Amino acid sequence: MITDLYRHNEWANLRLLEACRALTDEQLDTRAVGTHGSIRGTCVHLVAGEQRYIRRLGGETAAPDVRETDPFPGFDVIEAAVRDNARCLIDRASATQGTAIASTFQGRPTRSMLRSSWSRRSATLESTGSR
Amino acid sequence: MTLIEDLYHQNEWATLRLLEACRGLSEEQLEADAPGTFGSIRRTLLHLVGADPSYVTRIGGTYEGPAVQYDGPLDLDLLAQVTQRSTVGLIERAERSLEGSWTFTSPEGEEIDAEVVLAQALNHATEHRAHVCTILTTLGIEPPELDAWAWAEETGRARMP
Repeated sequence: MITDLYRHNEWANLRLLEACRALTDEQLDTRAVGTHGSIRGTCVHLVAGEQRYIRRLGGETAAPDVRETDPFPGFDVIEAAVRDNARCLIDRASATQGTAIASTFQGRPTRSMLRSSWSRRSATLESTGSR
Repeated sequence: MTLIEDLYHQNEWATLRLLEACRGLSEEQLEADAPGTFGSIRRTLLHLVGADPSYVTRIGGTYEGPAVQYDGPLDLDLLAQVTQRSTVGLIERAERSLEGSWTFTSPEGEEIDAEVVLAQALNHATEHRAHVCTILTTLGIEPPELDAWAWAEETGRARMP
């Protein structure tokens, strides 16, 4: 079931990216009240967040790092990261399944020790969150 | 606490927290909506909470709670009860899925894996909570933090060294 959660997350992200590929630059920079930011920025944040979760959990991503502070990398790079993230998140979830391993890592500035189980959870549902 | 329990308890916590955040809203605010969302806050909360008992029963689980009342004043206490009882059923079904997958037949005759519904329950709630948060923002109201970070801090799962 855990694998299904991450596969669904990957599928939804890929489908969203596909829908965004046809947008103009102006549309990609569109923002709306009550959302995270522009479409472009949100796509990047979504993937960059997952990469951070993986590293915090001791995983190693194979795709190039995506960062919110860098210029927009393009949809091919983001898509590759989505696929790699899914693989890594499933690996991390499987590695710690049922063991509730405590992980110490640099997370939010004010919180440095977080249990790995809820970091994985956040990675699954980040799509509608902001951190 | 297993990962599955965490997933559904965080989901429960987030919905309960959102319901709490909506307690002080006026009737006019409850009827507000925003572009790109599901509908009004009232309609979204009813839909969000009302789906969960059906997810539980669709995959052979038992839902032992009150029914959502779609008409009349919005009863946030009732919605909280439904959320809590649904969570019990979802966790039971999710734990059961670890012993082996099974399928159910939809009203349209489709054979669907149970895990699909278990994933949908989480995604559905997350998506619609975000809709309500968007509407709250458009109303000038700071929406509650509902992610796993906030959950961990509130429930003691995040600890300062």
